[in-house]
Formats: sequence, C-alpha cells, structure tokens
Amino acid sequence: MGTVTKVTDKSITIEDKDKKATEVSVPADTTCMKGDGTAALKDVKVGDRVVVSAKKSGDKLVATMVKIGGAAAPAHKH
Amino acid sequence: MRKRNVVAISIVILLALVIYGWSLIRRGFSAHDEPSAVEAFAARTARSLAVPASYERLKNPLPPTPENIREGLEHFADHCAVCHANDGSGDTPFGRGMYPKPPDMRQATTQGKTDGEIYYTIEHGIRLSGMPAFGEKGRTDDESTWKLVHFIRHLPKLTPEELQQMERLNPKSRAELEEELEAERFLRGEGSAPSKSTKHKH
Repeated sequence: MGTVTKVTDKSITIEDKDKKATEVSVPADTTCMKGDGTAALKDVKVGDRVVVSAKKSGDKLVATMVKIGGAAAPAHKH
Repeated sequence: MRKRNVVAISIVILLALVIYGWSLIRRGFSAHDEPSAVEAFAARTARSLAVPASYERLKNPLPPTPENIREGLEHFADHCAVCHANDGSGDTPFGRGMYPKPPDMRQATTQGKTDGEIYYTIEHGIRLSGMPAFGEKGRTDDESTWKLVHFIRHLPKLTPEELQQMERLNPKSRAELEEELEAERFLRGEGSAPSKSTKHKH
C-alpha cells in the first residue's frame, strides 16, 4: 500500500512511507475497486492512496486487485 | 506361434511400464511439478469412471436463486477458497503447491461436468489429491453442497463486487486482520503506508 506517483495505461508506481517506489503492472483484467464499487485503472490518479494485492511474475509484480482510496493529504512542512 | 506373440507383447508392455516407472522416480516427487500428460489422462478417466451413474444423473434440486448462489458464495469463501481461490482459478499459495493442482473451475473441465458429478466430488473428495471428502456416504440431499454447486456454476460470471465480498469472508489470521484494518484506515486517509507487507508466506 502506498501513494501513487505515476500511472500509465498498464502500470502504477507506488511510493511507501519510506519513499521507496515500486512499479506494479496492472493487466486489463485486474479488479479495481473504489469504496464498494467497481473502478478501472483510469480512475487511479497521481496522489491517490492505493492498496494493491500483487503476485510476482519473474522479476515483475503483477496486480491482482487494486483498491483506490482518496488523495493523500499534502505533507505538513512543520 | 500365438503363444509366442502373447509373450512378446507382454514383455513389451512390461518393459514400457518399467521404463515409465523409472522415469517417474527419476523426476522425483516434488509437488512443484505438473502431472505428465499420461498421469493427467489416466487420473481424469479413472475419476470420471468412478462417479456412480446414480450421481452422474442427479440434477440440482435447488433453484439457482440469488439467495442460494449467495449462500454458496459465503460457504465457498469460508471453506474452499484457501485452495481454489475466490475466483475458482486455484491460484493460491496452497493451490499452487499441490500435486495435482486444483483445476481452474471456470473452465470446461469443471463447468462441463453434470451437477451430480460436482456434488459427488464435493461430498466424496478425490483420492490421492488435495480434495477431501466433505460429506456423508450415500447422502444426496445436502443443501449446502447443492448451493455450492450453484455457486461453482456462477464462477465464470463472478463480479468484482462479489470478489470483494468474498475477500471479507475469507478466514484470516490475526496478523492478516490487522493488516486489513490498517489498509482500510490508510484508504480512508488515516495513518501512513507501512514500508512493507506483514503477510506471511505460509
């Protein structure tokens, strides 16, 4: 789980709280959910909080489910 | 002459069996492997022949109402999904590690079976596989099993909402429950993402 930093039509990149970025490919048949409703990869925006279930395929991570939350609050400067 | 032919054929068959047996032993007994084509064919044929005709002809006595399918879904998520996966694909840590692997139940190998064959498999299990017998011998009126049969028929049409509902119903360890709660809090905008998942491999 983390905050989305990049979205393409086939993958998302997520950053965790340690600022470590992980790219996960999202095949067309991956289930995307927002709240209790269905969503799609196009609904994922940079800055959204997401929880991704994924499995390894070679050296890649492939999403099996993406749960989309709201946008993360901007970090406080103080 | 005829006797000589019989002996020759017997020797050839025996030799073929010895060579096949030796190749099986040489392959080892790891559950990572897929069954060979010969094993899969022999197992499928034997399994098909082993279902009594009285079961094969059985039709689901319950109507496929949304209520019956929902009850089957709840039962499946709680008892079956750990090996078969919520979507019936068999793609779970248990399923992937079995020999033979559970079938993808959305495909014709399962969907093409009669209601009675599916019922029989659930009730009687499959010897030498990971499928236990969940029923009582001779019983053909277990409603919870017939509801499962309806749900298995529904698997190819499973919706993302149903999948999410099943995820909530899957048995979970305390660590998994905590992780799920943490994920829900995170999605609601409370707290921050942990640096790594706490999920155990086994």
